[in-house]
Amino acid sequence: MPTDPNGDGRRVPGLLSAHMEIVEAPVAGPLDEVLRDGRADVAAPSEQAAPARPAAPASAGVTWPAAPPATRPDVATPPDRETSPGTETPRDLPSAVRFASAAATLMFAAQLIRLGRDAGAGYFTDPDQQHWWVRVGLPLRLGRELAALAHGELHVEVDGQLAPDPGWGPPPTAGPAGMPGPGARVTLTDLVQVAGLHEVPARGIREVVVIARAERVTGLVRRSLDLGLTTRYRLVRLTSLFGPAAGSAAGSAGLPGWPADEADETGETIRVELSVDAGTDRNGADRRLPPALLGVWHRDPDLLLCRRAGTSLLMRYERACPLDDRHVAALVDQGTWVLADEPGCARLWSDDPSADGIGLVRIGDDRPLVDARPDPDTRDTGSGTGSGPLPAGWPAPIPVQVRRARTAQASVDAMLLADADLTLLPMLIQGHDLADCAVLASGRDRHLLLAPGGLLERIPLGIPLYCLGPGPLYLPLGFRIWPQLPPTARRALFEPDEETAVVVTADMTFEFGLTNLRPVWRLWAGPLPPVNAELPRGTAAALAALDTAPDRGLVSAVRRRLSQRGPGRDDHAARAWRERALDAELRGELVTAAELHEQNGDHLRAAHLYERAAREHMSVEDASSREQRQ
Amino acid sequence: MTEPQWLFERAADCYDRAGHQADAARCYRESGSFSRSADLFLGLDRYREAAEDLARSGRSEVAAWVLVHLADDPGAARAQLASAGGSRGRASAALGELRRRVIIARCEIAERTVSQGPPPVLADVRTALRDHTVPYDPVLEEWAIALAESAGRPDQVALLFAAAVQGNRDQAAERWSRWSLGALGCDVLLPAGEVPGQSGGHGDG
Repeated sequence: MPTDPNGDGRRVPGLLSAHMEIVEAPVAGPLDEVLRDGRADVAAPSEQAAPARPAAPASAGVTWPAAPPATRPDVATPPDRETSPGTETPRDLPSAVRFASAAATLMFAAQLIRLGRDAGAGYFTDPDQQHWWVRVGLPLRLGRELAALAHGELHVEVDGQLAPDPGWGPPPTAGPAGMPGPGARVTLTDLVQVAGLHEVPARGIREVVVIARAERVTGLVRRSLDLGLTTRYRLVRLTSLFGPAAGSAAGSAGLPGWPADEADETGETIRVELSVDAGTDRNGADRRLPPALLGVWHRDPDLLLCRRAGTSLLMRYERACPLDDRHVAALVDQGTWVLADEPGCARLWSDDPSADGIGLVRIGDDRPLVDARPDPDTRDTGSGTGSGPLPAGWPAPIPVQVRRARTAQASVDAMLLADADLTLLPMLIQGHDLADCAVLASGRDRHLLLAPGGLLERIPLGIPLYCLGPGPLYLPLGFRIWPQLPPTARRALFEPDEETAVVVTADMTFEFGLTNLRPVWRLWAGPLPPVNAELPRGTAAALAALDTAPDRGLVSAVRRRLSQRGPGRDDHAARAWRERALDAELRGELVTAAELHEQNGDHLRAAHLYERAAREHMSVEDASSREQRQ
Repeated sequence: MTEPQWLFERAADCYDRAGHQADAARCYRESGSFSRSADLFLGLDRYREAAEDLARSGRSEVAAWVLVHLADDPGAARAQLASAGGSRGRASAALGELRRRVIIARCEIAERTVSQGPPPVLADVRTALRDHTVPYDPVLEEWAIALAESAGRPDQVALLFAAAVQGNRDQAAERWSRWSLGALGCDVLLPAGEVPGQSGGHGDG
């Protein structure tokens, strides 16, 4: 008979009164937990009833339309509800769910947290760590659905024993004796550690964090600035998150997975944390970070690219935990957690506030500020032409400087090396064609590496130079002389000739003597093992007999030639033409040198010399044609 | 040739023998041998520079064709044609006019302003190909075929080749079979007997 549980006096008489009455009662059963949570993002499948209902509880005074009972979900008399008639809330059975993996356990735990039932839940593991248990009190139907969702096996505790639940029908009443139960207690953090991370596709990310070594950070900032992203950086310390790795002394091995040699005595690793933000575009809408850039950074083995999963939680890009981000963030106890499968997890500490990344990028060279008024005493500084003070009325000459400029047409003619580079040079040049023809002019602590016709190769050492001319006058690639000087002026000021090479850099000008050029292979080829001139026996005896002969000079000369017999005599002709070519080039006879190269098959260097000669001619012709016009 | 130009040309020869075609093209340009530099630039797929050098060497129509067909820049091609003036005296004036019309039709296709139907200039090209009295212009034939291909009309291509065969143009049938193999995937035979007096007829493959 219709009852009036709310006491508000509403009664719906009629044929459907039985249904209507129960519907109007305070909604009980699984929906109750949903409503108590107040959130709509429940994924428990037992709530098939939920979408068909409005969210407001029926007791709020809503009159239900008289729909036929077939379309109304059958909540009225659930067949497996174990509640006795009259009570609306199903009671919680002490249950334990067994899972085969920690990831499944975490999925189950995530559901419990979303339903608000995690307060009474306990997590355990088997003694052999093959299975994981969750002990919680759940209504049977809810427990069955949640367990099935997470691929777990539901057990109901009956008289202290765990009875496996068949999944349908009334709850089990007795279980098999001697069934193993849960063992040691574990925390959610342990579960997170064992379950690990799985891959998820990245979606519209607006902010990432890169943990990198200091030498990489400038390049990353530059790239971000090119793309219009804002960056902030700070130094951070990384310590271990889950405790020292098994088998290593506590703290001394640093972070498991991170390079062990970088941890200092306290087991910390220092890194730079760079946070990159996409910012907003012109209309104020949020921009996304370019996925191609993130893909490149993600695949770089020296960088750790993370997304911000919470205020104190960083998770590796395209990775997620079976537990939701916000639930993992709630587990963070100190510092900031960094969860990554490679190179490993860490706890992040930082004391600095972050600074803008622009400060890491050099704007340019120093340009010291000077007063605007010119110094009146700068008139007659001799400009080095050696012609004494300038006549009165002439403007003050500009000091010759070397400035940055585009030198697109120039190729590498020589290299300026320091002492340290000389020890590395053999490693790079051995086996290369340049080892055959390059020569070295040594100085006090700098050295000049030349080749007839130009090196034409970029060697990753020292400073690459191009030959400006006339003669052996070199400048670094990417620089020029300012103000522009005609060839005669350069020759007069710097005085390069076939015995002196002049290298002009922004800081200093070097002069190298070219009389003692040594082939570069002398750097690594030492003296040969002693050569045994295998003379036939008859010849040796004849030579011994000749020793007593009167013509000693000729004999000793022949002897000397025979004893010096060794490999390399055939290359004498080959070496000679290169030497002649280099001499011609240093004298300024570029066409002669080019012809020598062309005749001997080195077309690339011949072409390079012809081109240099043509350009020199062009500048000379311009000067002479200007003279003729005047 | 001045001294620096001669030196640049020798440098370009050496670069070419050393396999550095880009540097060779650059030096040919400095030496004033624009037709050689244009050929090298075409081989390097640097169409704009090739067109510049073609124009400097006097082949401005070829430059316009390169601009519209290879570099996909009909505006520059039209400008090139407008500033070109008359064609070189090598080809007759009628053929030169046909060439210009083909280029303009190709520009229209590139600009997507073409009306329905095949470009009308193709009919005139066919007439020129068929006519024995008109000297043969292989460049015009090649451009007309490319124009028909760009318009998506392989039937027009077939008609052009048919006109060439009818006009008894040298090796037209071989070119047709090469094209049909490449474009259609099979060798479409020209019906025998249509060409009166053609020696060494097309094989029955």
